[in-house]
Amino acid sequence: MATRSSMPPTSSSEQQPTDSVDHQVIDISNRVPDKAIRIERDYSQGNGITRFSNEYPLLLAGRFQHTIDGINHLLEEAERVSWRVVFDNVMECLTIYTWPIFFRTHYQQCIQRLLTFIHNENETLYHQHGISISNPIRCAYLFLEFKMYN
Amino acid sequence: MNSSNDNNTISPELPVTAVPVISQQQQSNQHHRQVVRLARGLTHHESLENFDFNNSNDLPPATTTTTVAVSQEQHQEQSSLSPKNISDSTTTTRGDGSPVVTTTTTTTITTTSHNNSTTATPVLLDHPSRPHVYDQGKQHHQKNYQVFPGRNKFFCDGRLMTSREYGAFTITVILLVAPCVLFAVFTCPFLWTQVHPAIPIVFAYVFILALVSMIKTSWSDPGIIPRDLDIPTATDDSNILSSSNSTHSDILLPKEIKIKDMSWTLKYCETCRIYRPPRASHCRQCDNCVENEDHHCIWLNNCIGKRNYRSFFVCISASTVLCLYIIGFCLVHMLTMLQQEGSDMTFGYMFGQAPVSFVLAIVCFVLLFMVGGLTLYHCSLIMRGVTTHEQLRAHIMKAKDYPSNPYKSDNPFINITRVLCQPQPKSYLGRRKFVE
Repeated sequence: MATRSSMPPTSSSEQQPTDSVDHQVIDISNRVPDKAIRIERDYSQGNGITRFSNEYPLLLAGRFQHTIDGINHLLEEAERVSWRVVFDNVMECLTIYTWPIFFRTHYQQCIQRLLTFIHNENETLYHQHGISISNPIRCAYLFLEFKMYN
Repeated sequence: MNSSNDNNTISPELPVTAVPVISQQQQSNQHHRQVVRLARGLTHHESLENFDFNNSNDLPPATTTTTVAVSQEQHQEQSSLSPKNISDSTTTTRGDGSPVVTTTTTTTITTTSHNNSTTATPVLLDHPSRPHVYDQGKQHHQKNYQVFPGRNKFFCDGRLMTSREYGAFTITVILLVAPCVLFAVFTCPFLWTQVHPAIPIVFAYVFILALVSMIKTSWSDPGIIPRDLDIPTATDDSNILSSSNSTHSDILLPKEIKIKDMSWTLKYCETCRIYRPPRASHCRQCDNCVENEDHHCIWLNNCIGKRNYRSFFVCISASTVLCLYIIGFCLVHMLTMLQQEGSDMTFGYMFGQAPVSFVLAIVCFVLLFMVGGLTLYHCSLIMRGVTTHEQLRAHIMKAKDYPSNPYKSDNPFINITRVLCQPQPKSYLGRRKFVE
């Protein structure tokens, strides 16, 4: 593992130099965040599709809104039961679960796009301000966490 | 004010209002040093030999203290920490002295449909971290599955997981494999030559499908929700139900959410320390909260939840098809033997000519009742769009008039499509990733 420079996290909002590691936010997540904002999940649609709440007071506006909308859109696309999804699942069962090995399912592609989206948002915008969006899968989609570092 | 510091470091494109939510308890040099040490401890894996564990009081804490109420308590608990404790528990509260955010106000960034005292879900929370495992100064990275707190067994380096008691699972496998092997050995050659070669091939396909489904259901993650996502913080006074003296059994009040037009309660799970999403349930045998838990199947030694319900259903329906298939073709075998001989039908004669088929037919007839009954039960559950737990709860609580499943629809086809064809989410556990 490459050595990391010893930057105390209480320095200004610079992030640690990115190493050539394959985890997407490994550097930020190894730092100790001070606080976190949680966007709770929004169940009001009533169809079981994962969605994060869109209503906040002034605290989060602008780019936050855009990010959350993007995430919601990608999740809805992933989880909506369309004919493509039905086809994927039926083929998976008929081929004795070997179908996903050869063909990427719709859900896998959408989740990959979601993770790339979050990664891009982190890299391009949030890390400069000392904020990082955590991976919602590890929180079981119960909330979306914006961790803030100072 | 601390908040003004925050504002200065954030550029104007992100309007962060000066919400006075932070009052850090150790806003001092000590705090700075602790944070630096923590940061170095987390990022300098090579330099851990030089890290003085006994004297530093800012290790990622090990014990599962649920509140960080009093700073005095925190220091006491901290000093009693030792590196060994970390491997035993799952905790994540880092409030013991490391940068604590005790929210003094609770500007709620939750849906505005939250509507009672439990809406005070704090905006800004202290960040939970997962513990490192140190072993006497030697660095020892572990993967998440090795420190998993539920009652599960993992193998193949965390790729497969199942619950603890696998006696019944071996019986199930034997019950599936033995009749099929007997059928293949004794009846299939006859069928291949005398009737049609496609019959054994179809049989082999269905058998492999049932076996692989069974293994997939038993050895995959049913949809376990990771722990310690909603740890009560010190200022959750309005939410904490227990007395102020106890620090180990704080229960947060249930949360109210809105689904379509009705109000639904999210209960707080004490063991897992989360607010359970709708339709999730805590399994006693596995000691985990599972999403959309149908039931805990002892025969398959795993919970049946959101991620493996489809393979479970495929397994039981394929087994039913197999039973019917075996019964049918054993009868064909016996009757064909009879026809060829042309003698009168006696049990003794039939038994003499095709003994194995006879026995198989009877055994599978008995099995058919069990598996077929289960399959029909689950078919009816699917068409109604409920899980076994919800069905049982609705049965018991007939008086309540809120529906057992908030997402179900009245159209059985929609329910079938949703239950059987919804995409399988990724596992939330990250079993093979290293502990952060």
